[in-house]
Amino acid sequence: MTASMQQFTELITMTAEHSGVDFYRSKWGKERSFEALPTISREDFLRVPLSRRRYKVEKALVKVVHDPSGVFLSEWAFSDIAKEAYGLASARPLVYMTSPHETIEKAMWCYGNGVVPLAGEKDPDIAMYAAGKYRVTSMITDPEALQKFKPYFDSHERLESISVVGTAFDLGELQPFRAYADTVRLVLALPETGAFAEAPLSSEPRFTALPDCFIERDETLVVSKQLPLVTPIIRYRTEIPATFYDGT
Amino acid sequence: MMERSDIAELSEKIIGDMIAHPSPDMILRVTSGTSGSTPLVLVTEYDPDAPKAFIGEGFKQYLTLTGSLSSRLAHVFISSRMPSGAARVLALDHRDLRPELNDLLSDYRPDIIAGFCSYIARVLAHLSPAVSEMVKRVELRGEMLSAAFETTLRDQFPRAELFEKYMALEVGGYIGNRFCASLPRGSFHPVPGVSVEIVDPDEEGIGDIVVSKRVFRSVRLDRYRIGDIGCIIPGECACGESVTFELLGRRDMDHIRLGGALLTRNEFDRVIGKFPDLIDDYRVEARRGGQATEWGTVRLRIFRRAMAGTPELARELADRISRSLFVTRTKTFHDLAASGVLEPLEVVYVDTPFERAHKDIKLRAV
Repeated sequence: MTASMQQFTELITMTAEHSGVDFYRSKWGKERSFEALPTISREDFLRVPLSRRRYKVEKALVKVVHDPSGVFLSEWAFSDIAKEAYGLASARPLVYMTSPHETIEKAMWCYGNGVVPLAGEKDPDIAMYAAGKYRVTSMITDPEALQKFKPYFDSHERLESISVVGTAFDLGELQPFRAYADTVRLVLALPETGAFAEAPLSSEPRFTALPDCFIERDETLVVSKQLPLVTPIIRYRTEIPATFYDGT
Repeated sequence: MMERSDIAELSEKIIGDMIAHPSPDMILRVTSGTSGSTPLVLVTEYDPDAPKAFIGEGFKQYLTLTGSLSSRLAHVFISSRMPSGAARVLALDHRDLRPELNDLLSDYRPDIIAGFCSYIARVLAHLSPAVSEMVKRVELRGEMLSAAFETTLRDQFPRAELFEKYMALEVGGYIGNRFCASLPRGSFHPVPGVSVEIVDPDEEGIGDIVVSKRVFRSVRLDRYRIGDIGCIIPGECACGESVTFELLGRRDMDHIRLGGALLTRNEFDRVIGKFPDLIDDYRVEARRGGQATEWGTVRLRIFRRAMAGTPELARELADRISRSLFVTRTKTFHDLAASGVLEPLEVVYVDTPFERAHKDIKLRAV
């Protein structure tokens, strides 16, 4: 057994034996073998209240996640947020996301990594004004928010990095942004799973799994994370086509 | 005396200093521009020695209801730095206010709610009686608390203590707190390190609130005219505090002088509240001076969800409101209009709801 599988085994045992909540146990029954565990999905997060998915108690941020089928809460310990690979090291990061909850979380990632973020306000004009004042050096954003920020780049210095966080990327629309930063990276992430793969922006990006993440290719990507999160991510079935991850 | 333009200049220097000498214990905030001025990018130092009661130490489930993202982030950041115990924070957005929120909040079970009055008012409908019972503290900031809303809050949260905080981003946060049980609504004691005085007072002692405090490293605000109107309440408070001041509102927003008349948000709320079936929301535009009058003109725009009122109803309301609305200690709007110093109150119905900014501003001098 690899060290990584050993960690998953420990996480599965800990999760299955948790005395307070049964989110996974009710799904798994008596099964404990990683490969044989049934997958979970967003539907499970929508169905089961947060209080029945909370596997640890720490200082934490709680987000509202919107889905066409409804809304649910997702809780992230501040210490876990800091370990995610949302951005790259930079002195003055700007976080500008479509979802205000994601903006707050990614900004807390910055704090967790020792830098003070600027949280971009919803109004792009105010966000760009503030970014200019702070002389931002990097940006964490999503594909939709990034497009709104385009006017900023034409009149300001090139950034060190832009991290585009999401589950789908229109490469044609993103290509022009390569001119605006030394590094433009795509980060596959969901609000409830955190980040799990990354790729440099190119015409054919090749994603690689992030540390502590394990990605299975079925018709869609199935994600597992080794870290014991507030709601651990064990065989979470995304809606991201496996072909996308392969870069084909 | 420092004015807002000085703050804009000062904020540039502070950001420059922060960039040159970074520290992770800083909070960047952006003003919303609600007051019509250019947004400011401000740096606040996190103060780990701030009295724990001021930041809600000891509570477990925070529900934050403020407008700007940078304010929400500040609250989350401060929560993350609280020294003791585990705490969660949920910073709601307007887009979260949908029917499913009821179930989410029943699951989340906040024990402390902090935010703007108007925002809290919108969330009340999403809190079941069982959840409301669990709330132990409600902290209000950023907007004036009306008597009617204070009653609503006390009814909705029977087990909660109600605290008001007087804050302004450009001075780095807190100016005053109403934690003291002896203080009436809208009155505050300055927080440690802040001095408050009133300048240019009128015959009733009402004037501009001026604040002095350290805002960043060695940078001090020295007698900054904050843009709010208030008065000092003389004497020592029952709690032993020597300085107490009353906040009367934002100059030219909650509190507008037209010659010898004083239009206040509280008084409009009081009178408008007498017509719940005819008025769901309102805005007041006041214009100083003019050709026909010495002091000015006032236009009241009102919205009614069910159906806009007729011009006849608007005229009737104008008469009834102006006869009830006191604009001096002893005189109503109608009295002053009759003497010719004010134009008669103009009332018009509008067809669409008023746009909502971060803050619930109803009076404005134009």
